[in-house]
Amino acid sequence: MSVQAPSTPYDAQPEKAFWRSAVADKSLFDIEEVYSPKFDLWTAKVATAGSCFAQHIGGALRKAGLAYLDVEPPPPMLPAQCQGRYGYGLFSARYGNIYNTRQLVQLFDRAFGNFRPSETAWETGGRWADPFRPTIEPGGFESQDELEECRSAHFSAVRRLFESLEVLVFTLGLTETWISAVDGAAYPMCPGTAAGTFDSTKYRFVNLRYAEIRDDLEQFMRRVHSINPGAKFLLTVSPVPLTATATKNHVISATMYSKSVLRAVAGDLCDALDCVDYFPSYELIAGTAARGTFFEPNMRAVSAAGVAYVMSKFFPHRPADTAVATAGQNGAEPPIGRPAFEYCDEAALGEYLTR
Amino acid sequence: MMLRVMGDSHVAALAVGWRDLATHAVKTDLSLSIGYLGSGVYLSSPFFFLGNDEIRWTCEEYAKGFLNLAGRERMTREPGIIYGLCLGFHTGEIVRLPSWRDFRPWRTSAPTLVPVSDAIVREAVKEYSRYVIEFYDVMLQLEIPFFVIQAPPFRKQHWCIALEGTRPDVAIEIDRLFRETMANELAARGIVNVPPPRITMDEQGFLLPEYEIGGDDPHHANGEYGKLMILQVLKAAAALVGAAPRASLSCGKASLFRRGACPITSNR
Repeated sequence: MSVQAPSTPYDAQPEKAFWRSAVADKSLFDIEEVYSPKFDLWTAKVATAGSCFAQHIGGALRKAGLAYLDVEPPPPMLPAQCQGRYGYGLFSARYGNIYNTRQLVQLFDRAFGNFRPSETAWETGGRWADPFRPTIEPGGFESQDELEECRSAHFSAVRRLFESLEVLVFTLGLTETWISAVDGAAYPMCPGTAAGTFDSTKYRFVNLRYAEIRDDLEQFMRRVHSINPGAKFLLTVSPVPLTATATKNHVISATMYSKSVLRAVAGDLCDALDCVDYFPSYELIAGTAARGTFFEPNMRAVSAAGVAYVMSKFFPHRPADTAVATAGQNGAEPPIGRPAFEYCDEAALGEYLTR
Repeated sequence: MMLRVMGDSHVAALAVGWRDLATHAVKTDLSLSIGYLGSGVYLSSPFFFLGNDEIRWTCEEYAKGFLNLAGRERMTREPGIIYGLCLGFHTGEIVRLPSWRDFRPWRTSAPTLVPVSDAIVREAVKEYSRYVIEFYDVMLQLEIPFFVIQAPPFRKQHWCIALEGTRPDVAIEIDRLFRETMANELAARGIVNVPPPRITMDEQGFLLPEYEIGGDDPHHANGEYGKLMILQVLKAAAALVGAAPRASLSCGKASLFRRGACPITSNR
């Protein structure tokens, strides 16, 4: 009788579990099985929200033919080239960039009338900005009444979205945020940058910690489930580095901290909850295997090829993936990639470097 | 000095009004010529180009209309000729868009329609009007003296309201925003525009019934309206002609008939 060598847990591991076979011995473009969906997106009504990278995901879902929800479609009279500037067609509603989890949970509360921040409009030079989507109306609204009327319709659409979505793809972007010192309202941008006036007695910088982010997400999911019990959540982390940090740290360290915390929260929630899945867009673009290939020369913006690469892993068995690699060569519909217009408020912080 | 009034179908009311006024021996120092250039629907696509310092018409109807009125094929600066252009306020093209049965300007109050900001309506107007604005810019470039005449107030019987279900308050608000947007564009260029007399409108801004052309035409104004309007047109023309020598002394001939816009000091 022969004696078998003792086995270890690694003996049963698949090829993808080993760096050499899964990464080192492969071309970047041959890396496979990076994502095993927990739930079926093809039969679900899918919505997107989050940081600027969420636009790419939304665009790809739409192009792939999923039942993508857009509860605030662009008014047909608005010229196509203007629609992105007005925040249409970028996410499932016209909420602009939702960079952090505090914004997300407060969006729900504001839309359902459970939180009315002390500051609801900022006036600058006779124009009015919504503090929670400061660039949604280029140049600002003409009056506070106009802002309120348009926001009321937006909230109505957001309520419909949360009530009807089956999967929300949320892209976590930043841990750093600015909040009201009065009531904790979280802003997507530091007041005084895209709109408003900075006042250190009214606004406070916060670098959200793991526990706070996790609590925000759990609170948010609990709220959505209270009106939509079957809702599921697909979390991703944006691979786009910070434009600027408000901490004392180098922007490289600040970025790594931010992304690491977000990645950890997303992973833990995915492990803990059946209704949460995680898609590794961050790893695919910013991970060592990618060797920085998919960043533009500024090492921040993700190239169209990078977006296409990520989305090819999102839809690994989709025949249309072949179109991702070849589209655009024959003048047909452009490939899944960066949209013609990229809506990223945070990028505006780069302007402060030269001041 | 001759005032040459030309434009879309709304010039008919001006022509009828002027004929009636002339019959009653109303006098003006200007000689007046009024003619139909062509339908306003052509303004949303390229209808001219600039070649050898002349405006050449690519829209066949406009080419014929201009030839009939001016006796020449191409438009250029002619000594002693000023233009009153009834072009660019053809608001019906935007007002009648089917999407106004789903959306509304934010000031109106239809709860089932989605509000849009003024800026969004203005973007639509500017996109629709880009060729006519380009036309005006070329006229300024060629130093052809001109001003702009607005179309009559919107009609409550317009098809989009009577037959297609656009709400009257929505329609008139879009009409107002259209006019305001175009007036701002013109003012930014120092171009004078002549709005309809307030007394021809009801409280909402629609054309009063006594100024409607009648019959089954839900769009145009009549000669009574034309009479009131042509007096405003003549007044505007006379003011511009009178202002011309002073303007030319201070700013050179490029500023002729451009109100308040010395090229050296303006923000253009």
